[in-house]
Amino acid sequence: MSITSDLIRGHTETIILAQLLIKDSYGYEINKAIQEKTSNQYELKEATLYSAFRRLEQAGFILSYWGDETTGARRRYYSITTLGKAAYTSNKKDWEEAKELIDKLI
Amino acid sequence: MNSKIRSKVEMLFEEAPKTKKAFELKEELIVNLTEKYNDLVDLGKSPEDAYNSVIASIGDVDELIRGLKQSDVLNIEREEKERKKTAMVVAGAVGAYILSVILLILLTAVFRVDGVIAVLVLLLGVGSTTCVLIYHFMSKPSYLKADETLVEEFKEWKQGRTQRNQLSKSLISIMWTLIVAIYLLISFQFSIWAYSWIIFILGAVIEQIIKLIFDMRSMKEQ
Repeated sequence: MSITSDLIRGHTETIILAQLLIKDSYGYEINKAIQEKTSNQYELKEATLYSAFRRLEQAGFILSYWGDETTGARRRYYSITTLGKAAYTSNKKDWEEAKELIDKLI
Repeated sequence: MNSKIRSKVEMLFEEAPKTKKAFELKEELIVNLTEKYNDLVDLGKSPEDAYNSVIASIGDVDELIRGLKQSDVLNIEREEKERKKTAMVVAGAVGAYILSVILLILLTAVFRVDGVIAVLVLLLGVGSTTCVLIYHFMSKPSYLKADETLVEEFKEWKQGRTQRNQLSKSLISIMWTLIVAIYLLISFQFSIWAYSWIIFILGAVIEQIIKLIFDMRSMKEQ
């Protein structure tokens, strides 16, 4: 499992972008969706997730805003930008190419 | 248990810079961890187990704090620049005030210029210097509220207060310069040095009145 984690780690940003393509979301919801999609086999550490948010935000791939929950604490939501969508498409293409190559090699 | 998560996160963030960004990140983390904790308890985990797995899922906080420190450097540089500019403007203004008074003394005592003209020159100097001062403090980047939390409101309120303090300070300094000007003028004109010093007592009274007006205004706002 740890090797798999290392392999996936390089794609953390793209994974987050993929989730935000569906809808605006917040940290825990994104992580929950990742867990559900992988049938509980994969989950991001909080520190990894929020570091990735900061990097994506600095790069202009995502924007953040505070939700308007009336009860309880307020969540910070993220939404993908046009630049982020372009980055996602190009990362996805890179991955498809790499997958094809590696399938041929191993 | 929620407060237990909060205090754990506070502890992890002890090394982090005390900035708005760090504060927001901390709040974001606490909100998300609490939600996760509640979900785990709803799924049937014991509070103790749920807490432990929530804390275990945080991972390496150093990575986050390093990121915060990097962005903090930019902020410090900007603030440093702003402070230097303020220091220069204030030093220049104080210099200009003093020069205006010296000019007045020179004009009346040495060059024997008419008192009224000399005072006009002084007022012109004092007035333009004050304009520069007020413009600088009014145009200083004000703290923009990023969200509706109490902390943000406090920061904004605090800044509004210091800006008002600056205004009352400028007014008081103008008033004193004027007092000195009037004192010299009437003393030279009418040679009443024996009585004219009373104007300084008057000045102290006016200063207290200005302060009182500003205090009352800020009390009303609260």
